[in-house]
Amino acid sequence: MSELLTFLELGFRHITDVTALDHVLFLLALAVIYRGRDWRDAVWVVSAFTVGHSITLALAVTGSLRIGAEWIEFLIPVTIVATCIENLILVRRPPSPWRRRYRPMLAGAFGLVHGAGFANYLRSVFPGEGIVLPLVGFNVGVELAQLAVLALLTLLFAGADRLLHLVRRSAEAATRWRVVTVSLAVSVIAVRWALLRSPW
Amino acid sequence: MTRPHVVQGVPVRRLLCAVAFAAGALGTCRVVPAAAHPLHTTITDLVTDGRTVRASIRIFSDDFNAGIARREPQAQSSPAMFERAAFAYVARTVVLRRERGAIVPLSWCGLRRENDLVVLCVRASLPAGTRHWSLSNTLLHEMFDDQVNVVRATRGTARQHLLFVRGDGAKAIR
Repeated sequence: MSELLTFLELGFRHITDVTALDHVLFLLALAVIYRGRDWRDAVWVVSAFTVGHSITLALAVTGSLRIGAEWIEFLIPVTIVATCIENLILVRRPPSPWRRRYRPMLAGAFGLVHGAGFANYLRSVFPGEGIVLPLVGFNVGVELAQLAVLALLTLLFAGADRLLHLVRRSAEAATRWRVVTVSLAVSVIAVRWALLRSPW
Repeated sequence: MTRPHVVQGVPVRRLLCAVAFAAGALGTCRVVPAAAHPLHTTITDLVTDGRTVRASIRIFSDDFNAGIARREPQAQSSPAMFERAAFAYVARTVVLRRERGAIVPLSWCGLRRENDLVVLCVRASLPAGTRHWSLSNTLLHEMFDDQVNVVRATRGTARQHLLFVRGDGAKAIR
């Protein structure tokens, strides 16, 4: 039990650390389109992201998958930019079943890239034998940390929407303004990262 | 009739917003680090039979080299000097204590390199009658705020996991 909790804490700290901005910015880009009442959709998307990065993390740590670290470090900000572009382009989101599933699938696919990011580190430090429990603990810790970040973001967004509603005519306009501003800001940072980490 | 926020066809408010956004984005870019999301972690396997302790410490080479270079800039000039500096650093940061705080001296059993890791080995003899002892592990805590050191202590079939972050003191090994 102490092994599971130790690696759970390691995963939790890995996400909530102030230097872990690439992960938090991706969460921010994923979550910014949601309002408080959409919390279920937001949790689905963040959990799909965890499933995605758990898959590549497990494959990479066990040696089944080997990806060049320089490509992964470049692709991580690219996924953030892509999410921001999607936020900016899609103004109205029809509540059809496909539309509701597509964003978790997008998050899951991008999670595959993010998981490979720290797999390179973890493969080195995790010992060859008895890898399952540390890996499960680490991933549960990552998921809990992401949900904690999501809860904090939801509160911040609700506060921002109230403020913006004072200067915008409708709640929808306030939310849209928030989505556009946050997506633009996050994409500027991510584009800079992508350029700096470019493998060419 | 002219709109108050438009001067000769120029939407002033939008322009100001764009300038403020660009300034904010550039400022943020200067503050936000460009480095990849690091994982500052060491894993120590500590095995004891009640009389001796052997610790195998897995640590990232670049982090460890930086930690050693900070204390002894000349250490990289020869392998022997590096090993001496490495042992001095480990002896200062990984501390085993008996009851009442007496430090158990460590001895060096070498290092080896594995891809991007350095695996360090230290051992100690526990004085007869040692029942309770504790460990502190501050490896690289002075280098990285987010440094997390995981210790797996094994005694026979019993295993205990400890986690050391910045500010943690000694923890009991059962």
